Amino acid sequence: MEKKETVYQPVTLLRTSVNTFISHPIIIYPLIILAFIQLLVLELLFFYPRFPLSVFFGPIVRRIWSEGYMHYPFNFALLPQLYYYAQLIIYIFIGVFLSAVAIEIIAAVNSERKASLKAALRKTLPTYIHVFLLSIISLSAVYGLSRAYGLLIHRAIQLKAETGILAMLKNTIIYGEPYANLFLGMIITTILAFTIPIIVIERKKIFAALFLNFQIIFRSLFFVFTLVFLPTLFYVPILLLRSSLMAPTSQIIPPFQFIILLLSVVVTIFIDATVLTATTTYYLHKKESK
Amino acid sequence: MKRTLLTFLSILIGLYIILTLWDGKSEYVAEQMIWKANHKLAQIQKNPEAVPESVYKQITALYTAIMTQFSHTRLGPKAAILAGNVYLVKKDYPTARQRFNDVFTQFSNNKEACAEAAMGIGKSYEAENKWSEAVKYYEKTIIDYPTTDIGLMMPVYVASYYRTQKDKDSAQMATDRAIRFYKNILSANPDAGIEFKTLHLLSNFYISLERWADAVETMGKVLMKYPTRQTAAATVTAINQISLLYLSDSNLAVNVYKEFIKKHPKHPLNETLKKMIASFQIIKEKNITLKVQDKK
Repeated sequence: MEKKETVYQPVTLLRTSVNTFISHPIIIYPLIILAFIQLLVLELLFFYPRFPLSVFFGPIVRRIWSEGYMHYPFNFALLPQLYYYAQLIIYIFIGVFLSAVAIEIIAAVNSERKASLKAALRKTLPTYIHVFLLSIISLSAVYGLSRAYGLLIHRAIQLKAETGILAMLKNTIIYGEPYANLFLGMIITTILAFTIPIIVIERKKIFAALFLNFQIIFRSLFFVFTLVFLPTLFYVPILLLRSSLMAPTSQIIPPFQFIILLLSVVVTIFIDATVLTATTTYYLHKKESK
Repeated sequence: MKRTLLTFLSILIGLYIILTLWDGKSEYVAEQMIWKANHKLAQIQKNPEAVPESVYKQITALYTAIMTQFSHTRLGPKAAILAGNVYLVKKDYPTARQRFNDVFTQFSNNKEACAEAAMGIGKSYEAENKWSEAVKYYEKTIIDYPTTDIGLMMPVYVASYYRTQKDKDSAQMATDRAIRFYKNILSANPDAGIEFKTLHLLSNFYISLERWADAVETMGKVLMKYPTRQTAAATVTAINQISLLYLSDSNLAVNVYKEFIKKHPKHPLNETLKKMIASFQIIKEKNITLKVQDKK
């Protein structure tokens, strides 16, 4: 009874999840590897206008953007965009797979098996193609929703209202874009929350996993959304910092863009660890209670 | 895991140090330094009198460091000019002139920098109300560095000065001289990048003189020789405005557009130009006047 109550309170489950990965740091090992890869790429991009990296990046940046972005401080205007593209590649080819490895470790910890990174990697490797396809599906969904939001922004821009509720709505839609994108990301994460655990733990293929996921998720949609929503709120200060940096009155020196990106990697790892542990634990609990 | 974390951290820090040191003397480092100095200069410009002496020293030291360490880059001469500008802000004009004079000796091969230095000296004299001294240096930019941006812009500046001073004779002389100067530049540099800049300056100069027909004719040359999509659209808009609002005569514009269509038969702007020619025709037939009222 006590266990059931613990699991069915989102905040309690999140607290338990944080305690779990603190007491079993092996859970965040794959995510630390992911953070290292992201930081390494970010560091290389930080130096892109300088020799020797400029030899590789120079022709690309000059051709796609312009010569100006090869110079200080304009390189910092391009840095977030370059890092965004790099992140997409990392996410598709490595990120989702390392999340799957983390889920395998969480499952091992939950069932009180001996958890090791090597064993988890070995066990998860055969599922690579399925988690890879899932990353494509989830990214496409996020992209589709962002495009839809883009259309909404386009419509809002056409509104002529300068005062009143309409103007407020217009400004909220236009300036709230980063937050809306974060929210849309949360929705996709929620809807697909159990897919990786099903692929990894149940050894299901992508479409079977998606089907099973939808069967379970819609019965506890709000609960899972809360599990995703609360930790993701930690990302809001990063967005606030970013938007304040982009303000025309901003007096902050350009390398702060880089520092914010560094911070976002660290915060994202914490959020991912919490969400993955919580949703996987919840999935395992649901499975046990069946 | 602690060991892995330490390894990761060492790799990241090590790589940062290596990449920083590898490129320690490049233009990028100079750009960082000059941005920092410019940022400080912009701050003190808001209230130069309230800024302590040490801050001025700090900024000039930064520019001097860039000038000496990065003299091989394009930012070396730029820093030398900016060091002079610091003294202009400080209103220490003799020192400013001294710094600008250093540019002539240290970067004698860099025409743009020398022109900028000559202008800096001129500005310092102008700030001291010594126009006769200032104009000598402005003339220097025109004579010694005629094809630099500063050299090209200076005849207009000098003519505008006399006009604002209401010195009609000098203004007329400077105006005639400026137009002669631009025409000489155009005949000496046909089809060169400088031609575009000169035509632009000349057409703007004609606009400031309210010589509308000359302005349209010069813009027509810009349109004919540089028909890129962006330039062409902006030039056509300007020609239309002048023809309708100031000239009340569309013949010049129509001739320019007809010649353009003949010379560039496949240009994407042609359809619009044909419509404009037709509209001008209607305006002419219906005798519609849009002329701006003379304020005088």
